This record gives sequence, structure tokens and C-alpha cells, in this order.
Amino acid sequence: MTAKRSMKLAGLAVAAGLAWAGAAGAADPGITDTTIKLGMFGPLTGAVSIYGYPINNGAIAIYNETNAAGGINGRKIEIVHEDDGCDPAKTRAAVKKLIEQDKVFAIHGGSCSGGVNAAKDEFISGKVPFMVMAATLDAISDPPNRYIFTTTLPGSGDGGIMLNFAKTVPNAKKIAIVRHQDDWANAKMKNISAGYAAAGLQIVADETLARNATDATAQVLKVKAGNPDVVLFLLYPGESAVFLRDAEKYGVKGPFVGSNSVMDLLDLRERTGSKTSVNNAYASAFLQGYVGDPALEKWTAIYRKHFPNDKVQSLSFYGMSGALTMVDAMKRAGKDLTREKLVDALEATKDGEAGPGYCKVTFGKDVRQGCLGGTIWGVKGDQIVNIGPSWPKTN
Amino acid sequence: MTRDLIHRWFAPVAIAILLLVPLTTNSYIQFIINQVIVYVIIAIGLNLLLGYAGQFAFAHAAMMGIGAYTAALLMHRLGVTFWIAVPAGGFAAAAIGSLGALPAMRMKRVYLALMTLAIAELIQWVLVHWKVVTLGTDGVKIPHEKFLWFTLASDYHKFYLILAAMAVLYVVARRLVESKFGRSLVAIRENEIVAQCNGISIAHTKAAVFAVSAFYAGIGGALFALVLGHIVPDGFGLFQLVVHFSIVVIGGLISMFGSVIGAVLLTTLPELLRGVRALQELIYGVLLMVFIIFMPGGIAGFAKQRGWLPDEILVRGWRALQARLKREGGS
Repeated sequence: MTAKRSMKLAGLAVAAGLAWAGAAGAADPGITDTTIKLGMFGPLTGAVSIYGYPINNGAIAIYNETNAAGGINGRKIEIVHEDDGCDPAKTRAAVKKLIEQDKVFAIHGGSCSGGVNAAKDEFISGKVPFMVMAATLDAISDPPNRYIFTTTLPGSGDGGIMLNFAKTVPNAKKIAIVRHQDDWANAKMKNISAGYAAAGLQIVADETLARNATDATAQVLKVKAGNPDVVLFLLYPGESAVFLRDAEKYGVKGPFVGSNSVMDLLDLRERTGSKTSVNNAYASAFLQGYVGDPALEKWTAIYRKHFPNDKVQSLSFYGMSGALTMVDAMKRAGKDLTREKLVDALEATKDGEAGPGYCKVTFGKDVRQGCLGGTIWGVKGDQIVNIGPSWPKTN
Repeated sequence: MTRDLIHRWFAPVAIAILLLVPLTTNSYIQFIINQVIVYVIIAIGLNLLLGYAGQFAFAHAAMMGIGAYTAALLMHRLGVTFWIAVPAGGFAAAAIGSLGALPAMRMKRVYLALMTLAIAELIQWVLVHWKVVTLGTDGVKIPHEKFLWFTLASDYHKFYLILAAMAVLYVVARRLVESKFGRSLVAIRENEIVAQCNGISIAHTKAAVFAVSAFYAGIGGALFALVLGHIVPDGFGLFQLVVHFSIVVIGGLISMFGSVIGAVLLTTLPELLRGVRALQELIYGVLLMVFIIFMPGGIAGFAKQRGWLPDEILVRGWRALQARLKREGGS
């Protein structure tokens, strides 16, 4: 058999397969009379798996709770859970597996922006409704696509909240920035870079700190040399602790404004090993309350009910707003559920329940980022407190 | 006789089976197969440098990154067709890879390893920070180019492109190692002074093998970019290098077929272990240790010991000559 003929045969087979798939497409995949199969993925192995299970389990807790309450129009939700290792190639493979092999109805997943962005085409070409779990890169949902939704505050929104707070610090003229050099931090920098000059601020130091860094002396000394009025740090929790620890060591006073990665400021304080390290530190937050806050009691109870052996942490709440939005939309889409009806229902979401999330969820025809609000948290004594979006007048 | 037949017909039968693969796969499995083939190309390149020439160089993942970024940026920013962008990725990597030969002229073993590792880090730093060109950590998206019936949006179409590239590069690599150049590499690996005394130009040969190896990594990287559709600098760091080394060492150093075995095993194993997620990393690690402890020559070396694979003789036409002599002796 010649190569040419083989290729023709292969082409015919693919065409036949597509035709068959089209014929079978009358009923969307992943739907039976009693079940809805949802795909989920995240970093369940590898260096960043600490972000995988807690976030995804929060969403699973909501889906389990929905099943316990009778399901969605008589159907129970089944979760197919895949690992993406926070690696673009593995993410794309995981998404392809969910769509092509597991035949899921829709997908809720993705905490790593690079991976989700690499897999984005799969949702679009497969016309599979996709709810972002916790990835924050703006490019995932902007420009908007019919099939991609997020209830997670995008990175640019987070940076905007940080900048808006920084510019209200009394007499703030000079700011210093310490950040990672990756897509996560760059997304947050978008609104900061675009808005600091208009806010009357001058950047006196812009330092990068490597991921997994254990020392930030060089960065701290450069920040100190700039004598800033406010320090913004766009770092993961471990590196934030390293930076604040060294800042305290070298007498940099702050105020320090962190991203929502460190909204659990008490956990951050514990990581630094100093009781006073976060006294003048603040963090942007997209949750209604901190871990243990009465405002999150209901959601904490749901998480504990379904994952009694897990430690409840801020991450446990990240995936809940997306799950609640999916459940609500699937219910509204009706008994004859299809992917297109789910997308229509998601698009029609207005002031939807975000659970532990700070704002209500609203999508629209060209609006796929459903929750752009947030606030700033600080620490008073041994308590995290909601400071509000601007510097408190009594401070 | 049977063994000769198997050896003679193995490659054509394997290619015929490979051509039919898309008939039996879904897009997910096809995606994994495409990755396997890309890693075969990359592993062949590393095997030339590490296995045949014995150069302990650590910049292979970075060369893959150069190939991937050259091709991706040409397509994304300038609208260059992939027919040009993919070879350009290979040549860009070869040009930079041959610079890697400069420290290799004066350094060996761990010093060469450290120097090439530094070059690799520098390249990744450039990919991250030279944002106006590389788009930084946002990564580069590969456009879905169409050429007649061929579209880069289809995993099945990409498969034939990648398979053809792999077949050509495999044959070229075999020809290279069976040539005077291949024997020069082995001579340099065994003893540079003796090699020089035999009239082999150490500088030229090293420069050539660094360039050829980088070319393979570059083409592999460019095809990797096509397979993935979106690349980020993180994808070409230390973890990628560990994957390359694992493929070559486990598959078998100094064996072209070992590169194929290693790529198949190490690319498919993580996918096959998806079902046992909790134990995935443990099983993977234990398997690696078992292979290294009990098969130090890699799987190909083990198979050669058992006679399942023929020894690789670095003289082109050797087997045909032996067969002819045997026939003539017998008649």
C-alpha cells in the first residue's frame, strides 16, 4: 500500500468519523436521563499540586451538595477529574481526554493560566462550555468567546484593586513593586502599569523575585534605597513570606499591599515566623471573608461535610462560585439540557450567587468575566479584617 | 534467516502501521502520539551529542525552545508559513547550538555541563524578559494555517507532517552515524588525543555535532509548538531537559532505536498512569530506578544483549556486505 493511498484512506476514515460524530450529535455527550458528566482538571501532581486539590475540592463539594439535594432537574452530577500538572502540554492532553475519551458534557477546571490558555482552543473548537476554576490570566476570557466563562477575579482586576488602594494611602507619591516574572504576575501588572502615572504615583523600584526564592535581601535593599511610600508585592505565598521577613529584617516599613494570593494574611504571618511581619501588610481579596469568618460559615460547613479530612483554607473557597454558577445555569437550562442551552443560560446569569465570593456573578452577550469586584484585607491583632477598597480614614 | 527478515522488514512495516494510526485514534490519543514522535526527533538529536559523541551538554531543552520560539514567532508575528517556519526553527537552533561547541573545545564533563546549563538558563531568561519580541510569559499562540487540505487545527493532519519529518530525520541520523562523521564522534568520545592522532579535527567535529544535535532539537521544538498550539518559556526549562535525558538514558544511549523506545515509553507512561493519580509519581519514579539499575545500557542495550535488536555497526552497508560475502562463500 502506498503512502498516498494510506493517507487517502486515513482522510476518508476521519471524514467518516466526523460524519458519524455529527449524526450522533443530536444528543450532546455526557448527558443521560439520570446523569450529567462534568470534566474537571487541575494540578493534582507536581510542584504546584498544593493549589490543585483544595481548589477543585471546593467545587466538588458544591456539586456533591447539589446531588445530595436532588441533583439538577432529576440528574446527578458525575465528576471526571484529571491532572494537568500545571504544564501546558499535559493540560491540553487532559482537556482532550475529557472531551474526546470521557465525553463530558461541560468542563469546570484549570488553576494554571499557561495551561488553560494552551487548551483554550479545545473548548472553542469542541463547542464545550467551560468554566474557569481559578486561573486568572485575562487572555483566557478576554476577548470573550461564547464557550468560556470565569467567575474568578482576573489578574488585571486584582492589580487594579491593589493600585486603587495604594493611591489612597496618605501622601503616597512613590511606590515600589516586587513581583514574579510570569504570566500570573504580569496579568496583575497590566492595570498597575496602565494606571500608576494617572494616579500621581512614581515607581522608584521594580524588582523581580524568582519563584521558590528563599532570600529577598537584594530586592529589599533596592526597595529600601528607593524610600517608597507604598510597596506592592505580586508574589506567591511562600515568596511573599520571604520578602516580608527580609523587609522586616532590614527595616522597610511599608505599607505593603499584596495580591489575592496572600489574602489569608494570618497564614502569611505564620510563614514569615514573625508576629509583627504583617502589621502593616494588606492584601486584595475576592472572598466575602477569611477562614473562620462567620460570613463563610455555610460554605465552610459544606466543604467540611464532603471533605472532613481536609484543612479548610482560603483556596478551599476559590472554586465554589464557578460551581454555584454552573449549577444555577444548568437548572435554568431545563430538563432538555444541551451544551448550547447551558451556554445561553450562563450568558443570562445576572446577580448570580457567588457563594463565598465577594460579588454577585453577572455575564452578558460579550461579558465572560462574571465577577470583577474585590476588597482589601488587613490584620488587627489575631484577626483578619475587611479594610474596604481604600485606605481607612481612621488609620 | 527469520531474524534477518525481521530486521529488514521492521522499518517498512512499522511505517505502514504508523500511516494507518489515525484510522484508530481519537484526537486525544492522536495528540499523545504526535508528542511521542516529536520527542523521538529531539531524543535522536540528544543521542548524537550525548551518546555517540559523549558530550555532556545540558542545553538541549533550550535549543528546543529556540526552535519552538523561532517557528512560533515567525508564524504569529510575520505570518510566515509553517513550511518555512519549521526549518527556520531548526536552523536558528543549529546556529546558536554551534556556539555551544565553543566551550566544548576547552571543557569536558562537569565543566561543560555547567557551562551549557548556564547557556540554557540565559536563553530561557531571554525568552521570559525580551518581551517585545518573545511576548514574555504570555506565550505565543500558533495560528491555524491552512494549506490546500492540510490544516494545523487538525491533530490528524499534523501527524503526517511530523511523521514525515521524523522519518527523514531518522534516516539522516542513521546515515550520519554510519559515516566517517559518526565514527569520528565515537573516536572523540573514546579518546580525543587518539582521535586527533588519527587525523580527526576535534574542533570541526564537535562544532558539527553540536549544530546537528541543536538542529534536531530545533525542528523538534518547532513541531512541538505546532502540536501544542501555544508555547510558554516555562516549557523549555530544567524539567524539559530531565525528560530529554530520561528518554535517551532509559531508551538507550548510542542507539537510534533506543531514542524511539525511550520517547514512546516516557511520553505515554504518564498518560497511562492517569488512572492511578495518587501513585502516579511513585510508580513513575520506581520504574525509572528499575530501568537504570537493571538496564544500565537502557532498554535498547538490554534488547541487544538478548539478541532482540541487532548491534548498531557504524559502517554503512556493512550488513549487506556481510550477507553478500555469506552468499558468495556458500555458493
